[in-house]
Formats: sequence, C-alpha cells, structure tokens
Amino acid sequence: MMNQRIHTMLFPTLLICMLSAAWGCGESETGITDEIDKIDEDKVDVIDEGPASVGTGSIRGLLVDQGTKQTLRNSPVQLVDSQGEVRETVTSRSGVFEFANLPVGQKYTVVVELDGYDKHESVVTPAAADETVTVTVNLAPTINEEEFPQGDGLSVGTKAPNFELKDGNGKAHSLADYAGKQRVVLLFDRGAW
Amino acid sequence: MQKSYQAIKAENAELVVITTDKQAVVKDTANKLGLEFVTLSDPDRQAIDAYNAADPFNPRIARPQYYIVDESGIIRWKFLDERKVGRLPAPKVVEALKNL
Repeated sequence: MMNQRIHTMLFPTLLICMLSAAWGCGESETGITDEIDKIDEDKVDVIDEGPASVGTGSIRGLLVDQGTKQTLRNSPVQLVDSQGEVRETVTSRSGVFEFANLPVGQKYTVVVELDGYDKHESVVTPAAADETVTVTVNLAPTINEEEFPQGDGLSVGTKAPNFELKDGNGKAHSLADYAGKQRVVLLFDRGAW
Repeated sequence: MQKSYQAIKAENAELVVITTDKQAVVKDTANKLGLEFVTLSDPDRQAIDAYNAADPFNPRIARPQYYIVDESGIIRWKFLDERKVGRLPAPKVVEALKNL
C-alpha cells in the first residue's frame, strides 16, 4: 500500500526529471532519493543520471579530412558520455557539429566512424558551466594495403594515360603522337641499362 | 630490345622506353648501345606514376613492365613479372604484337 502511493507520487516527478535531466534534479529532491531504493530496479533506471552536475556546457567542433583539409558535411558524429550514453548528430554543410546541454564535470568522447577513414575517438571535458569547448576533428584517410600502389601497373582494357616526356636530345614525345597511326610498345624500365 | 626493334616496327608499332634517368643519361645510354627506338626521361615520374609503375621497394625508379597500346589508346596487352624485377625477352613482345 505504501509502495503503491509512492509510485503514483513519483511518476509525474520522474517524468519531469527525465525532461530536465540536464538540470540534475536527482540529488536536490531530498526525500525522493531515499524512496527510489524501494522501487523496482527497472523503474529506477530511467532517472539514473549518475553524479549530480552543476550547469551545462557545449562541445562544438569541425570535422576535417586530414589529407585534403576539406570539411566533411552531412557526416554522423557521436558523443559518448561517461555512463556510455550515446548522443548523435550530423555535421552541417560547413562541417560543423555541436552538442549542447551537456552536464559539466565529466568526460565525453567524440566518436566518428566514416567509410574511408580511420575511426576517430577523442576525449573532451567541458569544465565550467556555459562553456563551449571547440574541437577540430581531423580524420585520417584509411590506407588500405590492398589498394596501396605496388607498381602493379594498369589493367588491360583501360585507357592508356597520355604523357609528354623528353628524349635524350630534349625532343618531346607524347603518347598521343601515335594515336590513330601506330601501336605503341610501352616499356617501363629501371634505367641505365 | 634493339635486336627486335625492326620486328616491332614491322608490326606497325613503335617502341617507347621510359625510365627515371635524366636526359643526359638517356642520351648516353642510347648512344652507347646504339638504340634506335624512343627512350624517354621521366625523372619526375610523371608517366611512371600515371601508370602505377613505381617500384614498391624503390619508388625512385620504375618497376619493369610492358604494355601494348593500340591505335585508339587502349591498353591491349601487359606483362608484369611477379618477381618484380623480371624482364621479358623481346621476341615475346613481338609475338604478342602478332597475336593481337
């Protein structure tokens, strides 16, 4: 009977707590926390926000391709807090992402997993309330051993790239010179043979 | 290659050799060996990189490889020795020209 009454009292409060989680109401509502222990485990989960926090901060970042220095738009960026909770956003047209209303005083990990790049993880800690931490996330293009040039040359059936090079007398020769006239036996060699 | 050059010409083909040697070295080699075919200097690896033909163990030089490019600029035949240093006897190239 006692439990039943607490339930009905608590539920509206729980909802408010969830909606205003960033304000960290858990600890300040004395009396309620004592009663929470009496509630079934699965009901407690929803308000388990961890240690109380003072204020919120933001993390604002720029996603950049380390190779080309170009910003990366429309790319998913995740933020994992110290409880393992994941927030996700997508970079803007200019490559900017932002996570707001982050309880301060804990570590957040920025995680970016994009095709063609190594997985990126960096830890950011907004220390003071209303602080916006700015970060630049440089994504390193993945070097695929299979695709790494091994001097295997080009495949039969592909277009032979044109070139213009000079012979020993300084006369320029271009592959295009032979187009429509002759076949070319093209031989790459180590040199000084 | 010089020995087979006439046979290559007879197949209506030109022989073009590309190395990273500087112009002076190319000239010297061509004179010394009496080479009649086209020998080109590619010290900046302009063509070598375009053909993905740099030696994986020494990118300053080319990994030996042979192509036959037809009149429309398409690669029709290729030889690449898996031992990465191999050279093909010139008559094999003539044979390939005949078979295409």
